[in-house]
Amino acid sequence: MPEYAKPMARLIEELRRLPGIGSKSAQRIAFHVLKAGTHDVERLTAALRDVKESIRLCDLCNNVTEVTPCAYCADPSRNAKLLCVIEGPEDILAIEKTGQYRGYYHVLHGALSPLHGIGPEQLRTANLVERLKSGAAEEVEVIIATNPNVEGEATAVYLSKLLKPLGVRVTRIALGMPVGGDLEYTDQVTISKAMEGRREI
Amino acid sequence: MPVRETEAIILRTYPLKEADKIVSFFSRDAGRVRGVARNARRSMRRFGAALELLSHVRLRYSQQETRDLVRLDSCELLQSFFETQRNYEASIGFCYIAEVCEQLLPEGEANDPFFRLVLLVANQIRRTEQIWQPLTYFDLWAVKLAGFLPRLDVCCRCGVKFEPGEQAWFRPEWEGLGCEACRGEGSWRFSADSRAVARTMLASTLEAVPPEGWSKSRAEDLRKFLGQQIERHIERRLITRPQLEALP
Repeated sequence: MPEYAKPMARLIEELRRLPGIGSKSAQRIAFHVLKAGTHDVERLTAALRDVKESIRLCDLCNNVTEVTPCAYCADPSRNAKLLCVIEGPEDILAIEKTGQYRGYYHVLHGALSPLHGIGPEQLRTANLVERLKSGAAEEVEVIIATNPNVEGEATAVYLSKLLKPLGVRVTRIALGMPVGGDLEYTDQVTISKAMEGRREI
Repeated sequence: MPVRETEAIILRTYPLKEADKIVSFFSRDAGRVRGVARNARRSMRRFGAALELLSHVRLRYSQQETRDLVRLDSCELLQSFFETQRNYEASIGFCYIAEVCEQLLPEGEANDPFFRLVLLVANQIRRTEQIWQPLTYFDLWAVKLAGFLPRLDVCCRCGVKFEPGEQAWFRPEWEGLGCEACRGEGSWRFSADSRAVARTMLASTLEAVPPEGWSKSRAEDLRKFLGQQIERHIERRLITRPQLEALP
């Protein structure tokens, strides 16, 4: 970008490296920063620095947190017999929003994805196994709530093979028809999954 | 804006912006194409499970001459390999096929034999629930259809013809197999059995090659040789090849 002054070009380049930000968006954000007041820019830089310096992973569940154990792991009112395994920390908020689940969490920070070079070694499963071994594993239900795509399914099957020998009950979240969906326009994989996961009413 | 309808195989998807996906697909009529599936991450209505890896779909897309990416309008699932890929080994195999297609096939060039090869191999993995025989067949025919399969019966260094039952040697920088006299230090052995496997696979259909007795060790040298040929041709390392090699 030779047409911009060096600091501006550098900022655009750095912004372009963020996920979902292309050249145009990077330019727009950079110009916004340029026009913003010094105080606003300082607040943004302080927030960026703060997130890097104060946020860490919970030793128990790998959630992003300021203190370890995190707020969820430290909450004694939660059901210790339920452990929900998810791909990313953002999934915790999605599940919490339902208000239906009151168990604990474990964040894998990814799913098996050979095309991205992510194998079992890259998933954070070591402290999950340790956690289950240290407690009364046979009383715990591990709910695998990885995404319902091929990576998530492969991860779920891999985890069930890893965890079942410990004596835990391993379950998978239901896959199938979305609420508000239309059967006529739903593909065969989704319908067959919904049929597989049907329940008595 | 012309609208096209084609059969396609989904090779890869990448997240784009808040809720869109970039989809790389191998179309029967137009070869490898990349397009945008608007709102595909947020809403399952239009695309559902059709954008999963190696799904065989009927795709409608519109193309603007001035744009690199086409716009995916709808996607009907013809055949899904979702269940097969729940197995980690099969999932790596499918990813390997998708990566080779993405790297080897030029953009915008139809290649019907390659299209049929991908479907044939994916179906064989689903049917037999094992990957080594179908992947060997895929590697061999992918290299042949791409036009750089060397002769496997002569030494690429001195031109001498191999005797039946004679083992050969290979190195990443060679374009073919070498004989005992030319091998030098650090060459890999290429067994006579693997040359026979290659001969059979090139002369017959995949169904004619018995799937029984195929473990990872069978024709491992043939797959390694073909993998090296692919990597030499695309001038980069495949991400999924080491993961395949690491499988027990």
